[in-house]
Amino acid sequence: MKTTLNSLTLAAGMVLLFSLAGATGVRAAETATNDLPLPFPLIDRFENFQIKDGLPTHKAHCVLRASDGKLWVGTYNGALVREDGKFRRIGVEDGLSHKMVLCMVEDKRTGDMWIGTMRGLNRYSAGHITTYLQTTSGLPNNVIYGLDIMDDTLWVATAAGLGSLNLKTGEWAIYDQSNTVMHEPWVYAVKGAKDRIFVGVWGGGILEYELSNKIFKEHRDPDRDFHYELVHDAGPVSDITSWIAWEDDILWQGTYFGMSRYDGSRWRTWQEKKSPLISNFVNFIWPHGRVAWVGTDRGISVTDGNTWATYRTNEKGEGIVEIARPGRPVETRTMSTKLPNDFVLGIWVDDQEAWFATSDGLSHAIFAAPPKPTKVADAK
Amino acid sequence: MNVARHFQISVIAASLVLLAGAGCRKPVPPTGALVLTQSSATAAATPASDILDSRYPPGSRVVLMEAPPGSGRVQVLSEGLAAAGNPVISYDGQRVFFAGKASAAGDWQIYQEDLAGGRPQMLTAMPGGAMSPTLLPNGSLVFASPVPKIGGPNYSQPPSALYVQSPGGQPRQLTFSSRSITEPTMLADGRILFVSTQPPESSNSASGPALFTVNNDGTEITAFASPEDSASSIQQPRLLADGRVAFLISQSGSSAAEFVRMARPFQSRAPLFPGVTARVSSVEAASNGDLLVCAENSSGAKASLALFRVNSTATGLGTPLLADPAWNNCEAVEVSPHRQPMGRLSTMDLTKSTGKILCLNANFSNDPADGTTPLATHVRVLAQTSPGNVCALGEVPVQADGSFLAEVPADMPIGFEALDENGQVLRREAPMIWVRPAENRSCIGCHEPHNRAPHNHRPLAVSVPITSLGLKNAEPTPPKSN
Amino acid sequence: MKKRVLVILLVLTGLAGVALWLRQNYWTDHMLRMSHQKNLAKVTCFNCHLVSTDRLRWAQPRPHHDAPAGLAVSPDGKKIYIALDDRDEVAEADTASRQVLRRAKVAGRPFGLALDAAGKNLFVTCRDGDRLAVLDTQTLSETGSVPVGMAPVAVAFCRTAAGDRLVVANSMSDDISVLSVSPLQELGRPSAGRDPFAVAITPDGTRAFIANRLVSLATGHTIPASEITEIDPMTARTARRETLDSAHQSEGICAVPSRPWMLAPLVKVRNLVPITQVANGWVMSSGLAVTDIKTGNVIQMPLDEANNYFADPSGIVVDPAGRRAFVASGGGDVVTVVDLERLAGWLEKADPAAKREAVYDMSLAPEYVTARIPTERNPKQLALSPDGGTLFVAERLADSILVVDAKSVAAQGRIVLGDGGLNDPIRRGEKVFTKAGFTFQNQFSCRSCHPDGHVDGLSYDFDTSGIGDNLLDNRSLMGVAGTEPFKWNGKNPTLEVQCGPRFARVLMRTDPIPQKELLDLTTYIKSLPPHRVATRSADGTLTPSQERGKAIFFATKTPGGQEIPHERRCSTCHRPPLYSVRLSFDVGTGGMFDTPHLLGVAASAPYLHDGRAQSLEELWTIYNPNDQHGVSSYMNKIQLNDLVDYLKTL
Repeated sequence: MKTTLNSLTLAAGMVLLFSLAGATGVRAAETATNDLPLPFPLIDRFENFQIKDGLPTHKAHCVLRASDGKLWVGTYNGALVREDGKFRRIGVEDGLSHKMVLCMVEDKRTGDMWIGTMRGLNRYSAGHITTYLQTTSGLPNNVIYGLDIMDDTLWVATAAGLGSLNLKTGEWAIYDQSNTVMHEPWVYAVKGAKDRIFVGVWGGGILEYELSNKIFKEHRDPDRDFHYELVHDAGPVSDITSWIAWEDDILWQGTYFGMSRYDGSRWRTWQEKKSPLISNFVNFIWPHGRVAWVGTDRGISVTDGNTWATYRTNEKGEGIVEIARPGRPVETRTMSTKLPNDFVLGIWVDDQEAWFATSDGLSHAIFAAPPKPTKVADAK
Repeated sequence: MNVARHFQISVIAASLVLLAGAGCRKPVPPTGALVLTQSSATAAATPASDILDSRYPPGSRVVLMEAPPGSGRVQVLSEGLAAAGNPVISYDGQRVFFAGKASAAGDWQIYQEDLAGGRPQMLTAMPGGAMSPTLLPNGSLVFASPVPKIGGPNYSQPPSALYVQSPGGQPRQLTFSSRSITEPTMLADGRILFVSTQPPESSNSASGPALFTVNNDGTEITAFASPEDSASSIQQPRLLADGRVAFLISQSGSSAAEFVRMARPFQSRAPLFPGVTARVSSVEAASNGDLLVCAENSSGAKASLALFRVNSTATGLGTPLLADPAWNNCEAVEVSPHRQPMGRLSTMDLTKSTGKILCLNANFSNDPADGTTPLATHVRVLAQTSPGNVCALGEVPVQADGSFLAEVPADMPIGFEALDENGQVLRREAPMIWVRPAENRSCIGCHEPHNRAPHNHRPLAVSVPITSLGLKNAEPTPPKSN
Repeated sequence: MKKRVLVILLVLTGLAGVALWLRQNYWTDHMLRMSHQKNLAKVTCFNCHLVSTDRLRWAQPRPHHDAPAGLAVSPDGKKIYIALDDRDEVAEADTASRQVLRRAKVAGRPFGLALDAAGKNLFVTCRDGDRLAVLDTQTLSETGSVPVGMAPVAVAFCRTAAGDRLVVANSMSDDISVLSVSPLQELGRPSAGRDPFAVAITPDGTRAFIANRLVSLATGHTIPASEITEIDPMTARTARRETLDSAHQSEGICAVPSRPWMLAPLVKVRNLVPITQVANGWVMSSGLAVTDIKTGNVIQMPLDEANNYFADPSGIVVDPAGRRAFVASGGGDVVTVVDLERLAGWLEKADPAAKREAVYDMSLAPEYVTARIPTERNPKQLALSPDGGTLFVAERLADSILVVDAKSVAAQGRIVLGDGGLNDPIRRGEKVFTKAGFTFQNQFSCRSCHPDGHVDGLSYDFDTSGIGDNLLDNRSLMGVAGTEPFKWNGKNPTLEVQCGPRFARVLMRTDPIPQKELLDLTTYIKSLPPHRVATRSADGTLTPSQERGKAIFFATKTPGGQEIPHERRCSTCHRPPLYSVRLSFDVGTGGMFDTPHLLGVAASAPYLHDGRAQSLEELWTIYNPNDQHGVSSYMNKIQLNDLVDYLKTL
């Protein structure tokens, strides 16, 4: 009897002890988990630039910081360069082929900026603009959705196929549905990836072009249903590709029906509501390392594929960030500032800062300082 | 006849032919020979009715003087003429051209003569006379006619103009100014340089004589150089080997030899011999770059014109080469072949009766501008149909860039009035330029700075129909409103 | 005997009758059908048949000459290196004795030269070899080679914080090769203007300035402009581009020690103004671009005089003290001496308006031009000894280097390289071609509008019957042999007529070129081969795109099977081997125009009679709305690109 009571008391005490420890540990774990650094910086605040701050228009389409440190912005009404705290506008009157700038890419070797517009391609070099139109050159089409430079080739995504310009010889080549596996001619994005090119085709999924053997291959939505994802993680989430990006051996696909990630062998897909992705309507993706910054019609989602942070405006009009860690409930924090508009069309990120081009202005994101690690003594 | 006989006859015949040929072959004028004008230094002055009479009084003669001057043989080339002067040597050095008059009462005309021997041959028969011969590279003669009377413009006599006459041909008028044109000489680039007077009716330009050029077909009348102070006469412009143009200028009763540089003729006027006070009567270029200068020399009891040969950089005259108290020696020229000027194919079409004038910007002017001068919107084109009679041919619109294009009658003095939108005259150029048949003439502005090249732009005036102005719709010139 | 003669006569008569019958019933019809001409007076069988380029002058071997191109003087001033591009040689001469010491073979047409700081390595651009060669100056043997862009013509050496650099102007690929010296490799290829031709480095080595010869492609009424390109030789990035309005043909550029200036000679052109005269710089004049290195501002100053011109300015050097600049006038056979202190003095006093208008004032140059040193034919490149005491002038068409005492500007003698080529009519003709003395006041030469016998990319308004209605594209003379008639309206049956009295009347404004010189001139022009082709492989094989384009060019049917009318087929009017049948056609551009040949067509933009088409694409995308210039309306963009790719191989 005495032995049984002693055993019960010991057991109860151990249960109590473990419970307390466990509870403390959970609390500690909970506390420790929320303080664990994220795989990407958090935005502390937004500094926004709109018409009242010198922008010539509401809509900013693209943004990038050039290798000389200057910030370039493509807008509905010209290209902008930020100099001495002001925006200097480059417009049609300066020789730009059209005021509506859709995309830009810098040739870091020379400092030349290639600017794609609604009507033509422009090379801005030390203040001098050379224009390429479909009527005056080998450019496939005047509507330039995307640009990339790899080695000596400029790749141009246009509304009527993919173009390549050899920057040394001046030779053009066109790739479209007549000479590749492309099914539709609307090329929305192009990205160089070491020894190959990825091409985003609206309605045609993704093409992968191996430069050495000049072979195109397709990556198509396996369920061929661009509305729904019937088969997860099996290929591009949709064929309606709106953007592609590549860095660090990871290909990202933005579509109007979700987002995909491809590491060369494995696909992962996300759609709104089924994942922390804020919206299926993905306009733009900027990868920084293996983290994707995703611009949608309802804000920005940042993810490494597992952990997410989404910046948007809530119903009260407040700027919020929603942090989703695996297996954890979503943590929502109210921010003191917010994006000027949740319709995000362009993004540029580096280790220090981020810039967002939105439907109503430009936003400069200041990162928060990384959180200090939790002291072990607190858990005791 | 046997072979030997045949041979003898052939040799004799050949020798005769050789001798005959030698006799017929003209002897070459001796090296170093000069041709110059001589007039008596002792004869009393006689009244002169025209300017050549005053330069070359009765008895003036053109002579060939063998070297050394003064002790070599003197041959009177103008033998038989009452007076002669102004010799010009042909480019091959074989002939001389000069002005002469057969009798004291006759007209001055142009004569030519072979330097190897012969008699003066009259080339012209111009009413009112001819003077100042010069030669085009194709052998044509250029001269001025009529010889101006002493006493200023005489409306009963037309102003002197330049004429060209090909060998054996008829004289054709080259210039059509309202002002007298004289003293033609050739520039190396083929243009004819001459003296004319700027009309006082032109706004903002000094009146008085100035140097102008024209092509050998009378096209492209252009101002070459003008003294900014008023001078009474400019005579004997001559291109020197070093790129200067020397001339004699008279003002305020004195005359001097001056020059301008081809490189910047409007900004380089300077005395030819800064240290010389003696009156210079002629300067001619010698073959080696020296200058043959005739100037007053007071070594004798009475001053007479002596001949000097000076280095082109000399500031003084030095010792005369030839000083003869009995003769005034002037206009000495070397007898030698010399480089002929560049020729030029004419753009004229004598079947046409009009030419075109394109002005790039009627509002580009040298006139002092204070920023409030209105812009010209029209240009009224004037024409002088006869001496003293000026009419308005009509108005041509000035385009937004200031350009205008007009078709105007050829071969008559043309002038302009730049008008503002209210018809006020902003600038006026009296009729003194002209266009030749089918000539397309351009100018940069209206009283523009000299020696300016145009800006490179497409004048708007060439994109609109040309305004044709003719005598049919001409009106008498309205009263001046500036 | 008599019977035999009779039979022969009968046979000949019969043959003549057959020929007559054929002519009346077949050949006439054949010629009408194939030539599409209403009047057969100018049509012969040889328009289409028996045309061969083998017999043309440019296809024949020609004499080569010791024409000096680039110059480089050793740091001790004792040696001068001379590129002899026509011989594939580099010569080394002793500056004191003025004797040639050695010659080295350098393949690929050596043209531009530069020495490293120690004078141990000579860098040579090989214009046809598309490479930069390195010669050891001790052995004068080639020790290295690296590919660069197309047709490199100039090279400059500089030291940067990141190491020694070479900057190469690639005249045909319109870009600049920036190379590291050790290892010898290309670091970057920034783009230049059109036809980059000369390179100079600022004294501190931080900037390379590149002079470009031709204007950027401009439409007829746009103000043409060339550029000076600035790059950072350390990073190969483009720093700045200065625009030279209505100016082109800069063949030299030089820094001014002790002043923040870069000087480049230029030709100030007036192609848009109707050429009603030549006087007063109406067609063109020479000048000097003075670029402020700090700000990039450019002031253009005149070099000519009010009544005399010094055409085709080329090389330029500045003495080490920065006091004087020497500018070669290739057409005027002088070297102009510019007093830079007087020039600076004028600039200091001038207000902005005066500076803007300076280049139009033909009487301004005497303010700072102090001498004109006479030379033999066609002075081009210049070099100064390191102490500035001796000026070396490459007298290109005299095969000699004039040696001048730079202080007194008196000629001291010559380094004789060759015999001047007096017995070669081609060389004599080139002398005529480059001589400005045939034009009014020596304003320009044939070469002024046709550098290297090619185009300057401009359209000019020739004054013929009217004013302002005659803007004409300047055509290349390269490859014109055998392509008569000439002139856009085809009215000149031979080159002798083309360059004869009419030319003298409407452009030269002087007497015609004398007959003997005229024949030499046309001999020279006929010796000019077609412009080098950039995109054809060495063995002549075509890429797939070029093959497809060739098929389009020779197509008789559209891909849909529709017959293309004979007169609308490319190959009808542009028949090989000249790619012209030398007849006039109406291609919907406002008149009947002589068919230009297409050899080297890629390099002769702009196109059409008035230069309205800036690129080959525009011929069909903009200027062929009714398929009159060949049936093109069926083509998609890839097909058009293929056709253009093929044309670029001709």
